[in-house]
Amino acid sequence: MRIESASDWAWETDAALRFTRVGSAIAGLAPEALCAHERLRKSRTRFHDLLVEHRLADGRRRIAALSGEPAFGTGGEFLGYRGSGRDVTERVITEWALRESEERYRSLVELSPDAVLIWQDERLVFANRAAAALLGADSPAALAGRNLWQVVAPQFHERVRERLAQLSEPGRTLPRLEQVYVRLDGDAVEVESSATAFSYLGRPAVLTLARDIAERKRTERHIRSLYAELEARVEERTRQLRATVAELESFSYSISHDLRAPLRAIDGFARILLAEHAAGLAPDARRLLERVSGNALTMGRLIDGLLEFSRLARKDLAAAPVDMAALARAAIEEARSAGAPDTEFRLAPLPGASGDPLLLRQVWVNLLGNAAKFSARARSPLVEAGGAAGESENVYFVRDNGAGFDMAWSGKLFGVFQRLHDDAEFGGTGVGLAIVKRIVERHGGRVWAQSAPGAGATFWFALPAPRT
Amino acid sequence: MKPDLEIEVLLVEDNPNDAELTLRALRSSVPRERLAHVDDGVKALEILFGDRGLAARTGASMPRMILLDLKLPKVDGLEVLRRVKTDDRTRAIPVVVLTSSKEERDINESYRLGVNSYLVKPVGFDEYVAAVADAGRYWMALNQPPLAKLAG
Repeated sequence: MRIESASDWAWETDAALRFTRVGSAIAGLAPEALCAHERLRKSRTRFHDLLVEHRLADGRRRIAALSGEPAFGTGGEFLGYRGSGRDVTERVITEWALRESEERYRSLVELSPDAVLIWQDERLVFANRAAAALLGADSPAALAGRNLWQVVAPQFHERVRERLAQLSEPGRTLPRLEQVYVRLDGDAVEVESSATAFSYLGRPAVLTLARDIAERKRTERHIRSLYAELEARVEERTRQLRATVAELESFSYSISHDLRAPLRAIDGFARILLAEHAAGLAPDARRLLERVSGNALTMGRLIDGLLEFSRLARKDLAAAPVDMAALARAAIEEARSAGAPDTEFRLAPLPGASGDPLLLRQVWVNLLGNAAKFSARARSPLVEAGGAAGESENVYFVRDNGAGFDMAWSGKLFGVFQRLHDDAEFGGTGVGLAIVKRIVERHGGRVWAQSAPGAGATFWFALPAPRT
Repeated sequence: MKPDLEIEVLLVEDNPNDAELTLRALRSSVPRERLAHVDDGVKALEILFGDRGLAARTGASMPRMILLDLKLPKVDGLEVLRRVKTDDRTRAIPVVVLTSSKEERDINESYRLGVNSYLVKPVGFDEYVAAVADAGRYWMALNQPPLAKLAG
């Protein structure tokens, strides 16, 4: 019989195993707590650390461990049990928690979709169901004792050996590795594995997590091949497109050339008639010949415009810092001497640009020339140009106080041969603004305009801000 | 063309309209019989380098100017230009390309081969006449040709 310590207490039961005396600490123990223990009633032998649940007066659940031995009367009759008890609540709860935690981990491992493999001395000592499935075994047990070097494909032996060497200390974890395992049937399977060193059943072990990535690899390869196919297709289309564009350009170029020759003949022979046979021609015949030759010249100018426009598409774009203010000043001089001597030009500071100086010069020449042309009939013609630097783009404008146009037609403004005024009012071929648009857009910029009839017009263009 | 007469201008032009306009433009400065017109590159090379061509005849003098179109049947203008400018007997003849091509390739190749002048045919007859007449005046009247006969 144990000696009662501070935490131990003594107890006694009657022959029916009902408690007749219990220590003070066990106040809540039901008198019938032991009655249910059939074995004790029958065997009447000593027992040790029998766990009994009870509640304290305040309702807290406690667990006691009772040890006892049977007591017999002088006539040998069974009197009941006597013994000692201890409160073991904390220890038992800790044990339960531990067991539950172990079970939780076990089911985690068992249910894990990833293969879990534990190796000791390069042999498999544990595998879960996913590992069995991965390696093509009927059950984890079928894998027991399998050699690491049978599982890892030969081409990865060296890599895995290196990794194992890094796992000498417990707790070390290796980064993920894409490698190949060999299934029981000899087939290869692509896996992504990670490994960590730990202690298993008291001995150093390596825990490996492996995931079947065959599907992912297939998808990756599929995506890669789709991508390559797409690339090839885009390349092919681009090539076709380039060829088509080049064909179109050379077509329009040669057409333009071939059209010029007969025009020259029309104008030429009309003028020869006028110059050398004037005497034999009635005044009306001379007037009509003048018109023949005038129309030939107009068509010649249209073709020249078309040629210039088509040349722009083929010209390689230079990329240099461009002093826009200098270009605008030169273009103003050009516009002034081209027939706008009375026009007042005002030039505000212009931010610099990056691009093809010759082409950007053409933008200023066309816009300022346009502005001068359409404001020439104003009472005091005024053309202004300015600009502002922005974060992503620099914006420039050319404004005039001339004829303006109805915004309803603004969509036609930048098209080739689109004109909003007839020839008698303002001459021109209708390619100037189309050229501006093409140049600006080839620089990655945009053009737009704002106007009202009689209220002048403002043309804007924006270019990507030069990288500093 | 009369072979016994001296040729002052050789016009190589396949378009009959342009040829007629050119001849008219030169009418005031070059007598018609001193003006040879051929309509392809082969004939041009024959006049210059053929068996009975100018270069083969002793005492025959070379044209004082060649007006050369580029787009020609058979042998094109650039090839004629190359032959003229690589032969010592013809190298000094001023060659004026008269074409409707503003193609960078044509312009640059002509200069590379040593063209003396490159004129783009204007559409307007007045400008055309002026351009051809100016070229004729410049190369045949103003320009000082080499004095010694180039070694043949």
